[in-house]
Amino acid sequence: MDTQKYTKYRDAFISCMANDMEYYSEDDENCPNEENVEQSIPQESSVMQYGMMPIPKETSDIHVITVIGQIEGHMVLPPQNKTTKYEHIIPQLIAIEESKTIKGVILILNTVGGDVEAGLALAELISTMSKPVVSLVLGGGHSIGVPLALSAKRSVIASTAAMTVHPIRMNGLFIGSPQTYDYMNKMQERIIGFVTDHSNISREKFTQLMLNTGDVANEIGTVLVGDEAVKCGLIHEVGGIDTAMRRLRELINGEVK
Amino acid sequence: MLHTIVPLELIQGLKLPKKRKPTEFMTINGVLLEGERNGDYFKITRVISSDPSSYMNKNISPGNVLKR
Repeated sequence: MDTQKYTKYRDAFISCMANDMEYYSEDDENCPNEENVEQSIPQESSVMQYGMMPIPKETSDIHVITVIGQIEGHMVLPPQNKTTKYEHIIPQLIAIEESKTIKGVILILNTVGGDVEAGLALAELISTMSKPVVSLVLGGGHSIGVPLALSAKRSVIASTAAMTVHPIRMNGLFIGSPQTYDYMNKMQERIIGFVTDHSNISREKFTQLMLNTGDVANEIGTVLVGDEAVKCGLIHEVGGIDTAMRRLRELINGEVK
Repeated sequence: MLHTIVPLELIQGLKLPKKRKPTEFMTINGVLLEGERNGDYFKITRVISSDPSSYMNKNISPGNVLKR
């Protein structure tokens, strides 16, 4: 099947699924294609008018914050990137902190990293919340995802999840002076300080992981997969959603400090 | 990184990613939605909320279209 035909049927199928219509066969002239997908916008009953949203009845006392894709900094990333924007997460965290009904937060991470300041902003906010937060690293918790995962009271990592520990990178106009290196060191210290304050890893061990050669291609750093992150003291335990929710319940009920 | 049997020419995004329209944000009943606006229609692509029940609300699930 050539790519064009595949794309046409795939898009038609997806639009059929979204609009809750029957799937059309190949020869059917009514099959949605690029021209008539807009007209096959669903009938009025399934298209919601603004402001006509019924409120769901089931409420949970545990809320979820997901950190996915790249953590966006002070500049907007191009649209093909999946991003986590701190300007959305920060008000949600404040609302959770202020809420009388929400008792805890589960923080789900699957991120490639991103902006250092945005990541540290979220990490500091999460680490200073009065309500218990449990983090679960799935897939990847790379780069600035490391401080984010540790900022929670308890951190859990899936056995196949990977976390890359490496020095910070910067691009831009580079001034060739020793002060530039001192500046990089100062910025790096923000991360090392946060990580060592919020986990059981020693400064020496973390710096050693960070400056390791031979592990990551074209880079210096270390990739820690699942249990390795627990062994070096960064993450508390290996587990999945069940482990994370159980720990969160224990923290909420005061069974564990 | 990919680990798949799908022929490489059928995988989207292997070349330079196609330029996507910048998405817009909208809040409905306190739930933040990200989507593509097309005139009067707003097609939801993502729900950003800390409340798990907002992800179970079929009316604002990704793929739905909202009309002004």
